[in-house]
Amino acid sequence: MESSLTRKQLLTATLGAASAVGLGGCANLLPKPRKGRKIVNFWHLLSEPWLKPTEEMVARYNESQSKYQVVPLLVPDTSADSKFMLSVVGADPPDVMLHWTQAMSTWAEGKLLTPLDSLMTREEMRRFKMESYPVIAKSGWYKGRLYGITVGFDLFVCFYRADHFREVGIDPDPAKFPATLEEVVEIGKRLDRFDKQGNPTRIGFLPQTLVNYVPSFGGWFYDDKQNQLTINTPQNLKALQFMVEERKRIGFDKAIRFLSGLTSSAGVDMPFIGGAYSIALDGEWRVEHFRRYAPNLDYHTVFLPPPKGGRPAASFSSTNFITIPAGAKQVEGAWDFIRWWSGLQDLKASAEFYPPFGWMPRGEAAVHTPKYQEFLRSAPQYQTFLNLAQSNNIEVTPSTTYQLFLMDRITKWSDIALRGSLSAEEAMRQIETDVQQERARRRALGYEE
Amino acid sequence: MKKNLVGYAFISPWLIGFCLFTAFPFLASIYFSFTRYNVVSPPVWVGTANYQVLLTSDPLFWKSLKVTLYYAALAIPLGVVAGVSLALLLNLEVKGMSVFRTIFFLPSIVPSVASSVVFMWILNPQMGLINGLLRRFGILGPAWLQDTDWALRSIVFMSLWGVGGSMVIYLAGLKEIPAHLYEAAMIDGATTFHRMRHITLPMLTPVIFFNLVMGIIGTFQVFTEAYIMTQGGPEDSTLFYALYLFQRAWRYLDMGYASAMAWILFIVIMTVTGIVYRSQKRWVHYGE
Repeated sequence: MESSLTRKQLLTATLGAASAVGLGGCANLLPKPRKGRKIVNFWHLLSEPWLKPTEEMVARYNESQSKYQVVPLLVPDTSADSKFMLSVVGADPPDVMLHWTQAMSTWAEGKLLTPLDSLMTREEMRRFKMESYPVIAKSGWYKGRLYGITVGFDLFVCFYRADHFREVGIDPDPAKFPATLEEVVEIGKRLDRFDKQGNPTRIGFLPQTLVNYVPSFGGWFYDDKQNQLTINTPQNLKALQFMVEERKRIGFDKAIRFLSGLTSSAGVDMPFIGGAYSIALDGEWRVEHFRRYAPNLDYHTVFLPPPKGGRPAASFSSTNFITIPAGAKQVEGAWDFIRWWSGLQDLKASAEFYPPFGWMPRGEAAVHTPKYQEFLRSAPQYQTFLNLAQSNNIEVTPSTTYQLFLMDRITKWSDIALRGSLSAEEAMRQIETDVQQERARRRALGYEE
Repeated sequence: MKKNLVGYAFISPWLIGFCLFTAFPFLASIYFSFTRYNVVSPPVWVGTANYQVLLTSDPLFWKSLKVTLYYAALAIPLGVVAGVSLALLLNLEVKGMSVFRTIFFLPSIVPSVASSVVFMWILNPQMGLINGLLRRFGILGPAWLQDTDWALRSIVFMSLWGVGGSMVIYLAGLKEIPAHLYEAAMIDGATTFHRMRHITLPMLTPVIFFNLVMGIIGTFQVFTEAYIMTQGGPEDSTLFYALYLFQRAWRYLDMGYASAMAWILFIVIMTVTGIVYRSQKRWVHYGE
């Protein structure tokens, strides 16, 4: 009797334990495929205001064919990289993923991604190179293989408030916008406003992110053709010196305090809408933001004028990559979806996917379609970005495996210089030193570059 | 034996979880710390290279260790003083005391992410509550989290927000002090200060010791506040050790290097805790 009861207890306990362990992992939350369709899991980072356009775009793809069913899943931006890596390591990655990480080369080196050129036909590769804007054609590559196709890319141009210009008696006509950065600075000074204590209440023009200005000074941090670092060059230094001088003019501490009050990056209280700046260097997504949150905002967009002797029509670009993780189960479906969305299937047909996101298409041909022209009529400021997209003077994140470290050091030391704690020269030297130390460390540990 | 098996079967979910998610990673990280490992590819043995590079040519390693030690040196004593003081106040016989105790305890159960976001607003140099109050008195407050001199101190200040957790333990300790000790002291003419100095604090030392050890372990692993509020800035002034470790592991995919950092941290924590343990003979009274 006692023995029988013990067995029962043992069985109950084991079953209970098994159920408890199983409950966490066995809940089947996967969507059921529509009849005859294969599920393609799509992870993306497109939260509001891009979530609805993403879901609509996916729904349109699902309607456009009967073989696959793409299931979108929003992954929080802050944990997307680690979730993605763990999903690949755990052999359960999504089939396709859109992200804006700068770690593309690191991931490619780590064999986390499927080379997309292995899925492309020769004709598709030819068209990809021919049709795409220069910046797209050169993005997503690592050691001669294409790991990500760009859908949506950021460029940076000057947004300026026409009402502020009129207020100080300057004609806001874009054709009359200054031709040099030095002239922009002079106009910026006229647009500055201060309170009784001398604290800025409006800053006419305040350069903020070094990588956005360096291309206009004719510099960049990496030479992709020579595979060489080009950190402490006269052009890069000049860009940082220019920015530091502008901070000094406002006052380092005053600028820090002013910027700390500008906390909103989207919505009706964005600094540019609120009038905290008169001229701001910003990305193309703002056009859609402004149309949504401040439809009556009186502003124009122009290329960032280069400094005297600088490089015109230049910008840094960060891109959204669509990739197929290594170990994806539905590669064919994922590739079909990528071809459809990026316009590799039909560039002109893809034109209509981009306006709801406020993004530029992959190539010029899509711009001339009626759908895209309709979008441009409603947001004429966008044309500036499309014009800039044709430039060959656009720089992208270097395709090295220490690119995150490099970009982080640029941000860190330029920020320190902009806080007035270090000279521009010393900051540049520090970036160089840190990056060379990191390369030496990586070499000592046997990492690939 | 069979009865034991039943017991083990019942605790098996915990045992399995502990072995899989705590013991195995803990032990595996010793091996990883001697490898080059990016999570995806198999680890490659590099001997003591990770430790050598850390100790000889990584200035951020030393910087983050210094920041963490400085934080610990400020936050631990302050936490003890604030916790004991609060417990003493909340040990008074006042009407509605349970309400006060609840109010002071509540912040400690607010998730640290939520607290961090709230403090980012409170400490905002332009729109923050504190600088707003200072402005009323004509004082220009510091830029707090944006200021290299104030950022770390701001996080120390913020750590006091969660002092309610230790306060409850101190309060329980105070309740355990026998009343007859106070009665005898009062008969002997001891003043309030003397009773505090010679009865309350000595009798509370076991609890202070416990909170001190827990505080040391906790402060050496501070991460959330810096991750949410400053990302280690400005100018690395809040680059805590755990934050740098996280960056190495997950941002730069250098898991072997991060594992070596984790083991150095483990040794540092064990050493400091060991020193505190050895010191207890001198100042902790167990009423024997």
